[in-house]
Amino acid sequence: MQEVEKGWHASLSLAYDRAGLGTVLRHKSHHGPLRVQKVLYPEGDGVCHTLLLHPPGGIVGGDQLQVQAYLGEKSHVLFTNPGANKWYRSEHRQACQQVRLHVGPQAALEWLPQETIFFDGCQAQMAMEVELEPGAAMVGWDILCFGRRHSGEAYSQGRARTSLSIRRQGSLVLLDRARFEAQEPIMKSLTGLDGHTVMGTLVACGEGLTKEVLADCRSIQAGDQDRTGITLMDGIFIARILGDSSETAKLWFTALWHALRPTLMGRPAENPRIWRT
Amino acid sequence: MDTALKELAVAQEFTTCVHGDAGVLLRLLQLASPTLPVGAYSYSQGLEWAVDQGIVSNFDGALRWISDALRDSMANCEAVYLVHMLRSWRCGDITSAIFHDEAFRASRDTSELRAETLQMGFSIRQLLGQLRITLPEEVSRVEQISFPAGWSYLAHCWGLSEHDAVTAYLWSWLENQVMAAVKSVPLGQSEGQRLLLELSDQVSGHIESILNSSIEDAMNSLPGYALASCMHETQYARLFRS
Repeated sequence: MQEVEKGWHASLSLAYDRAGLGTVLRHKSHHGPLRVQKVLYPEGDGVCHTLLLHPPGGIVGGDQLQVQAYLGEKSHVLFTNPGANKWYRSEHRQACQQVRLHVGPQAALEWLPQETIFFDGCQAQMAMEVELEPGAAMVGWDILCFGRRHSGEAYSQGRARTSLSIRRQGSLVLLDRARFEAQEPIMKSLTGLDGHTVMGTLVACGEGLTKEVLADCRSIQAGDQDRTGITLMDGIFIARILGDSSETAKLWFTALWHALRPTLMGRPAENPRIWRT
Repeated sequence: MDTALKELAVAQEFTTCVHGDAGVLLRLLQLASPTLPVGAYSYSQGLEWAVDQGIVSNFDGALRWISDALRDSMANCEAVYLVHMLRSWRCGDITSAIFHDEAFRASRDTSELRAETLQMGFSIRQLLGQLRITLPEEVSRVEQISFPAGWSYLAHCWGLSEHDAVTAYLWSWLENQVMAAVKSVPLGQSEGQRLLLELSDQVSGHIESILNSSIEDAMNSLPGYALASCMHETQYARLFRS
């Protein structure tokens, strides 16, 4: 019997404001299975830690998820989630996730999700758009895993597309489009994934990203098996890792985040507790 | 159209190209020539790092690296932008040309790759001025243009077809990469010529898909390529610019 994939349409819309010295979640609305699991203040009122939850636990063909958040002037929000983002096998239909984040003047955005796992046979489309107003800062990462190495599942049929665009005061400053189709040469080519199964990209933007910060970050080592590189251009910092372990990618990005946060956001970094579970 | 007519049409087109349009052919050669003063020869785009790491150490290694970069970075991305820019100039749609130019600059995802296209874009803009070719008013307000934006404008002004323009663009990129391999591996001159022969056959295989790609198909995100470019920025001894 052929399984009918109907798919969920889910959306979540959030707006934050600065009130006094704190950041508050002023507006929250959702449709379908996409929620704020918790709003936490482990660093005091200044930073609102927001845990996003997609209760079905994985994305299947036909799903359409939309998240949008508006960070008002001088607000500071850290987004993370309790578990890996899984894109399951889909026989027919594509699944897509669209994230749009607007960062107001002098506001700070941290988008630090757990890893994304593209199961074999997935048909995924992931898009993220960020708008930065004057003085806004951001740090965000994505760790993409192709197939499930621990279960011995190779990525031999999957199709995933990802895109990221960042606009600063209206002009497009970063555009990153990728197509990871299992049968395409990019999965094996020297200029592509070179046969690796995990790739990560960390992007940071904002004031104070100097050559010294770049040098500090370049001195932070990842695993022996990973290839890493960091670049800085037009106030945009990009760190990349290519390897086979999402754990080492996460550890390296976390260490970079610790090095970047004081300069970029004027606060030391402390790992959200949810990462330990 | 039957075969005889088709052959006649092809023969006529060929005649026009060789005799009637020698002017266009000469312009094409000039655009593809390494003497075009844009400084392309000073960049290796990560190839020099691959050589330093031993990933490229001989003819076969160079063939593989350049062939991968040709497909992943040029055919799947940069050349697609070039074609869309050329179409925009041709239709007089300056807004869309500027839009593609901004997107292409934003797609250069390492400091080295971005600096390269801006420096070469600056040089070709100067060249346009020296050739008394004026960029449209709206473009002159763009502070820094990318290399394919300026190059495609020149190709448009010189009346090149899309097919010829994209072939010439890929050829000059290829010649440059092969020269970089000859210098940095190093390889002999005859190995360089063999590389050019093999790789230029691949160029012709990519043209059709480039001409048929939409701009949303232009995929710039290439971890191996970007990492090579990043690592080259901090490489200790370099022949090529960063």
